[in-house]
Amino acid sequence: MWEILSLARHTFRESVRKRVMLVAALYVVVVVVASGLAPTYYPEARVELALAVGLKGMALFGLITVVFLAATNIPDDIHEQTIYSLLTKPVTRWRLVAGRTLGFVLVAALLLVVMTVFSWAFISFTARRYLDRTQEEEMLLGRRFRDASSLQILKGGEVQEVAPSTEGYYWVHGDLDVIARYSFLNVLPAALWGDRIVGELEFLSNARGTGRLAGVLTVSNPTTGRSVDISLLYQNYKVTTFFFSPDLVDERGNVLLEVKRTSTEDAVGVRPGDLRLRLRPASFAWNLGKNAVSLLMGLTVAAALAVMGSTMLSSLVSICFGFFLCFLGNIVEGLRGLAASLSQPASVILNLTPGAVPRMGETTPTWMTIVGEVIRYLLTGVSVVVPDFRTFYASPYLLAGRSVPASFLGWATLYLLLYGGVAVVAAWLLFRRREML
Amino acid sequence: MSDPGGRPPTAAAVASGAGTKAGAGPAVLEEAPEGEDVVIETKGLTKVFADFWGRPKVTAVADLNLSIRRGEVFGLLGPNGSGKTTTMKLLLGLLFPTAGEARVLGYRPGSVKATKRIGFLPEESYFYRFLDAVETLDFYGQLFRLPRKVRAERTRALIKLVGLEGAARRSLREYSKGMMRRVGLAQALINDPDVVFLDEPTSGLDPIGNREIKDLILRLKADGKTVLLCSHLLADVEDVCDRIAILHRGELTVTGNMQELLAQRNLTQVVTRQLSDGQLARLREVVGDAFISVEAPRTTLEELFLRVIKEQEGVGDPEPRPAHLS
Repeated sequence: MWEILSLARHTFRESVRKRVMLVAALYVVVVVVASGLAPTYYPEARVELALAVGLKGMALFGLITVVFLAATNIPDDIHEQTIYSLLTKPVTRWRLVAGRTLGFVLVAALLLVVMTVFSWAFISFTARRYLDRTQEEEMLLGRRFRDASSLQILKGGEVQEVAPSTEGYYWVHGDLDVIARYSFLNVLPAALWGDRIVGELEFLSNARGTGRLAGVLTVSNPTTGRSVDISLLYQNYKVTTFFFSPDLVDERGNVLLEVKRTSTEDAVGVRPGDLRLRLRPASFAWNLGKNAVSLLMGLTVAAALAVMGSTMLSSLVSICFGFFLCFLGNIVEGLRGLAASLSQPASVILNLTPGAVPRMGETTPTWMTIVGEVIRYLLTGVSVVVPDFRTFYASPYLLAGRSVPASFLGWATLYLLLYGGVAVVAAWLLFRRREML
Repeated sequence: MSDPGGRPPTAAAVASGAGTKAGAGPAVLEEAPEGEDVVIETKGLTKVFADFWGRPKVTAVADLNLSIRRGEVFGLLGPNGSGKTTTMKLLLGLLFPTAGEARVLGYRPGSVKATKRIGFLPEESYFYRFLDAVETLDFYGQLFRLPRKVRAERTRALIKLVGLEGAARRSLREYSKGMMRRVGLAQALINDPDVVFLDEPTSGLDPIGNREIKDLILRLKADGKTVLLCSHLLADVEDVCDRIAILHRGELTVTGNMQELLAQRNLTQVVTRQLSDGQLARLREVVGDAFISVEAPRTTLEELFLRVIKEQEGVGDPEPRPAHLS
């Protein structure tokens, strides 16, 4: 372990002295210029842009830097013969690979710390400049939610066994005594915002014209039976917020929310996650910190993959290999989609061929079917083997104003252990018998 | 020497007395005296470099049998491309043998147990140019798990030993080739090794540096270290080595004790203070027909150079020595 730490520290020092932190300076310039000069039509857009450029830039600059460093280090050691004085010390090749990889993780960590601190300062400054306090909180705070423990459809007070539609909706329609009941358990004190509890819903309705539908949300205390009706307007694809007094929550922290309609003509589609209570939000800095941690995990996997390539390839080829793997890792969803679209491979290929429009009743040539199948299996195989880097990108949560959940970080950690471990072991296996000519 | 049963040569089967010459195949080997530790040993060591398709291209080392004992300074000689560096790399675990085997201090080359106790100066002193000499030695010291205090002490001592006190904090990218060799030598000694591998240690050094390195090698020998020296500068090897092996096209052609190999047994040389004509005449009478020539012994160019430089620097001049005594 001592040797690994010494090598990691050495790698870190080497990278810093090679002025790798200039990348952070470049990042600052890009974020300031791109988000400051790009034309926007409303103030929120300016902040959204700063947030998007800041977060995506962090991932991009981090990935490029780490892959470049990790892909060139060992080949350069071999080319410049500095490897001789390393491998003739009591350093096993396994420790050399591990130490180098850890060193790149330290470089990535430093880079991410600098970029995150700058992003926090710049985005906060931009938000304060262009938005009022409420807008700023809405955009930057990491909203967290508590979903209902259960959703029941009742008619005349009796629970009905209703199957959801293919899209997962339970439709509340017909008699006015059909209601959807969301039960929330143990919501206090997490859901308490000062002296009230805040919730939001986004239902699908059969509203026409304005797209809005009047409805009533009844909030009741399941122990005392005390209830309050809240009049709301449901709007398709829009979030509607509401709030109620914590008095409606019983001593155990439970509360019932029932969705009712005002007309028999109305129909409302509800799903378990479409009505939720807001918990106290995570601060922007905390959320940004979690983003940095998840990105660091992604960069660790990228570094391990690049080191793996570098143990058997020259600098240039290793860089190409590292970037190609990371590119594939960023388009895994696209690869899977393409593979799925090739379930009718021959027709797709035929359609892609200029002028080759299939006619009714025309059969696909056998060779096309075979080629299509091969491509499909290839794409599926690659999409399974290559790590999906989206697992490490928390930016969608931040852009949606949501808190990065602990489960996301947990899954990212497992993914890191799996892919990072496999890449480091593969690097060692490739490197252990490599001759230093 | 291989025994009649066809077994591979034994550990200490290397010339230790009279010089031996080998024709085709490995050198004539001798058993090492009992009780002497063999620290480097190869048995039928062979390295064949293959092309991209795995077909044999070049045999760099062929069936090499060597035995180097504790406390020896052993010279590995040969023209360029003779397999000296390849042999050294095989002994260091940087290359893997195609056939045969090697042991360093009884361990597999490249194993941690072996590398803990060896020091290596590569042919070209490429080190991390973003470090200075102190940082370089400290870094390599860390790899040997030396405590911070020990690293600091050894670094200071080695910097002084190789004469880099004035440049210890300069980045290595500012170093000349000779200075890089000195740093290389210092890093090879950071762990106080039992065996030191020196690949062309005097390459790029001026005569003063050259002499200092040779003195250092002799000091290492006096301290009981084993030194494997790889060089094609024959004068350097002659000055410091106890035994040598000459490689040619990957094959061991000659191995043996330096003094024995160089001795001209059919001649006798007597060195005296300058003789008068009368004394010379009497000497001729005594020696008779065996007398060949009388001449004043010459010093070496290296000795002359060092003397001149020391005189210029005001340092006391040692008594000039004849070449064969230097």
